[in-house]
Amino acid sequence: MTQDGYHISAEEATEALRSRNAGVFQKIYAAYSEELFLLAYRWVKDNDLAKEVVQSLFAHLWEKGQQIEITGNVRHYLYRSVTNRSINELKRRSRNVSEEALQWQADNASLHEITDHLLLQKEIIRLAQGLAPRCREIFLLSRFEGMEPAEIAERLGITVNTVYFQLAVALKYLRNHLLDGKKLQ
Amino acid sequence: MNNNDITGFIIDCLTDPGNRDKQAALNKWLEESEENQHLYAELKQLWIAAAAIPPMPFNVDEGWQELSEQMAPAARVKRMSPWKIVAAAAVLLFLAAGGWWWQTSGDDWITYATPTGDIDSITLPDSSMIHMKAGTVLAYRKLFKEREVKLLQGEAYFDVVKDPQRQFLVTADKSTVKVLGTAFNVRIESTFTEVIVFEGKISLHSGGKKLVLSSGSGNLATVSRNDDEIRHPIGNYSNQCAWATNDLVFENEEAENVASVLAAHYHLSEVKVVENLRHKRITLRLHNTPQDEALEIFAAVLDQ
Repeated sequence: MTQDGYHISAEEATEALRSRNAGVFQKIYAAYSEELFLLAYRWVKDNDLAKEVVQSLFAHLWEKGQQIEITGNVRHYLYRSVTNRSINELKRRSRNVSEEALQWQADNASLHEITDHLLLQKEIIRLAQGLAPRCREIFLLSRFEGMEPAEIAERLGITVNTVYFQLAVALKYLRNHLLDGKKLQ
Repeated sequence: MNNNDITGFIIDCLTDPGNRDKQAALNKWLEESEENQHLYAELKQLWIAAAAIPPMPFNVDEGWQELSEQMAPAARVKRMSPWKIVAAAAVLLFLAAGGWWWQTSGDDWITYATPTGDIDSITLPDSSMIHMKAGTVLAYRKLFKEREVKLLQGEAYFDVVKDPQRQFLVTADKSTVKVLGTAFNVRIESTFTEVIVFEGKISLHSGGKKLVLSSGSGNLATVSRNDDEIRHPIGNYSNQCAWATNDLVFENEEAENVASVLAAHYHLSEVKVVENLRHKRITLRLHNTPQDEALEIFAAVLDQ
């Protein structure tokens, strides 16, 4: 299911950084920044810090572009960089670094797996915009905010059954619309 | 079980993994067919992937803008003009994307525009909710210490969290609505601004005049753009908020009127009422009711 609208080879990316080609650099940013944010968030579990990690990575690429050589797959290179930066930031702030982050080895199998996962998340975020307002609200509270159905029911003054009903509507909608009905996995 | 029940059942099992009865029922259902196993695997994958998504969206255009501000000095050395093009492209992009937040520079206002074509909603920092029709633009204080929202264009429904210490202000054109905690609808039209109170009480200020509006009968007021005149017709206009509340209430109303409101709400060309029942008066309350169910209830109440 890996589908990304933008392909750039390691050589082209390296060349763009060397020559400070802002147009190409912006395309790289537009293509990858959101999934890098999702990946950083996976490690640091903190919105602001995740954004900071992504921004500082791109600022670094732009500033030090003369000395940087990207090899292999550009996306994978960025995934590794953002993971290293996330771990460093957590250590620097004396925050707990999860076993998952430390264990995560940037081998090809895990890279492909995590790419699929992040792209699925991107799709979910995009598709959630299309849910009816109440349904979307309940879905976001349940999934993005991690609230239990009973908590959501209490907060919104509705029955738990309504919460389950709306979550089912949301999940069905996402499944039906994902990749135009193609099978997941 | 129909498809909706199954999805609900799976969610029930996913949210309550410790419940043996549910897990046993799930296992039994999974054993029934390979198709069931596929469906379960897909929904579970979605369910888990969605759970790890950060609560605040990442705004690519805003991020790029911030980044390009840092980059600009280095870039200026070599190429001045392309940078202007990039900056302009970034601005256009974020206008076109819509549905995302951006911050006006140097000020504390955050502007939000709905993506085109659909109803949208946001939760403010104080947990108050705003539902917006397509094409609506509004701005709110970033830190929200002062609860202030400017409706710049379109129509919005406000569900305000009670806070006796801090009033909640909505300005729309020349009108200001002050509330402590309530739910109401504000719509900007070319010649007037309209306010409908769905729940609680608000005070409406315009051109030095003030009107207190309560929910129930007499809950609508309009402010004319020409002369700041406040008009306050009789009647209960709560059903005009149904696009946001999904709440339709009819008290002692003629079936014919109820049918036309239902048709509009569910986007149907017509809801039929048999001739001899058109003027029958009915009382009916629908909350978050799916279309089929609503029509069934309507028919049952009407006895047709």
